[in-house]
Amino acid sequence: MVIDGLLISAWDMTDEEVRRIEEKLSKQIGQDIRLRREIDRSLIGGFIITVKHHRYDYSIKSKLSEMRKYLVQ
Amino acid sequence: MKLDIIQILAHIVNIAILYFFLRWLLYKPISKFIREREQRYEQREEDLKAKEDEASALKAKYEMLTEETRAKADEVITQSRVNANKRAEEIIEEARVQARNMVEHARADIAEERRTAQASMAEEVADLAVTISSRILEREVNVEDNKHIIDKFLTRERIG
Repeated sequence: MVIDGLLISAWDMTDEEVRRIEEKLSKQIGQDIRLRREIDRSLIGGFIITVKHHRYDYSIKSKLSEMRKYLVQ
Repeated sequence: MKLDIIQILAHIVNIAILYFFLRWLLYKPISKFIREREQRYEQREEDLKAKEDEASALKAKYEMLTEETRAKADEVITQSRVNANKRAEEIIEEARVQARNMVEHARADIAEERRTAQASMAEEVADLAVTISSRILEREVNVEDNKHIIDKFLTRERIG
């Protein structure tokens, strides 16, 4: 059974990069993953993956948000 | 001069009659008058003495009352002074407490304002830092950097 997920990136990824990410996720979750691609320039860099209500955020935008929280504390 | 015994006797009788007459006519009334006058004076003296005694008693009573009144007045004044001092101390203590509370409130307000200002400043600094970083990164991050992020993700043992 293949699970659909969403991959939002700041830059257009190559098919090879997406395939390797899907492979890594499938290994981790134990089920085949197929990612639908979207581009969001506001992420600045990196990407966000959403699979089965799980969200994996590797974007520069989120890092900046963490930095802001740290500075405010 | 020849002494006539008859005449002597007549004189003696006359004198005796005169004596008893005068005694009857003058001595007794005058004596009575003098006695009554003495009694009146004695009575007056007694009345005077009684009035003096009464006056002395009244004076003593008046002095005692005056003394009591003075003592009571002193007591009232002393008590009033004590009450006034006590009330003054209470007012001063209340004012002290009020002033202390005002200072504490002012300090708390200042501390709160300082905390708010610091938090606001920290947020502004953070926003500014994020804005500047975003602008720099938007300009500087390129495809290679994205590839690096992807490689980093792929080499992680566990994701999450």
